[in-house]
Amino acid sequence: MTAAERVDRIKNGSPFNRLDIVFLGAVVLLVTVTLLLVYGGGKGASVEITTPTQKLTYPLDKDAEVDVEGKLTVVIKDGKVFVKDADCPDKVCERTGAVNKSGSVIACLPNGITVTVTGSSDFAEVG
Amino acid sequence: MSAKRICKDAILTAIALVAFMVENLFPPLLFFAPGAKLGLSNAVALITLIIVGAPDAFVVIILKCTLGAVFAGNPFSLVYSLPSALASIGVQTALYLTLFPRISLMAISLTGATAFNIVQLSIASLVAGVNMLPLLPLMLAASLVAGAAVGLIAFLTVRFLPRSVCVNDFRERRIK
Repeated sequence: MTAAERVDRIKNGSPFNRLDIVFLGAVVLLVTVTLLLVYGGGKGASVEITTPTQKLTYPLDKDAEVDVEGKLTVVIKDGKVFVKDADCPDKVCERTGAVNKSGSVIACLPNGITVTVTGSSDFAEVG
Repeated sequence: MSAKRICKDAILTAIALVAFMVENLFPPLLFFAPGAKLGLSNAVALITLIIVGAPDAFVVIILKCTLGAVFAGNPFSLVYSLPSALASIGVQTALYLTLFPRISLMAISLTGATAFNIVQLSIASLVAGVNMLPLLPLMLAASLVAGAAVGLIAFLTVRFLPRSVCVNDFRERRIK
């Protein structure tokens, strides 16, 4: 099939095709599987803040306000964690909002800082 | 390489760059996936693949990523954007050249958007040294919407562009 024939198929064909459903299904399946893998876990127990130079850990059930190397402020409140003030231009980390599920990540790529919720609270009670 | 072909590539690169820059000015489309955007420049890449050729699509993508990173004032972002954009257009080229009449442009664009996000998050994980893959479901859900929209844009563009623009006739015409 030449390039010109392909163009004609687009010009005269429909925007959809029967086989599309396979690709759509595959992506939907991928979303579902990754969603279950990531958010299937329970509430987290602690918060891990990783910077290029250090690694800090805080319990999730105790309210706290942490100034991370003067670049951003991580707030732990009511069992949830969020980033309050970031000095980066895109503010992606602030927009991520409050998270509390184990495995959730708030990332500030410009500063190389990530906030990760770790450990299920069930395990924490046992330990 | 005819002058006509170079001109087409240049125009498409310019359009992709403008689309990229304008898109960066808007706030995120989806509140739950920060950084998620439509990726209009990907539509330009797909259109290049269709109306000029596969090598040209790669050229447009490489130029758009390089110049875009410079214009956006963040050359470091090239580390994320270039490999993912190349993976995306690579997947789309392969699908377009093998499966095309049986699958639509929307399915091609959808798969490309998925590849883009998987590669981008993997590289971000490697560069930042932390696992960013928990963001993957959100990004994939966003790419579902964006990929289909971009595919539709490419389809409509090719459909309504004059056929003489879409079909290449790169034979050199010499004036005698």
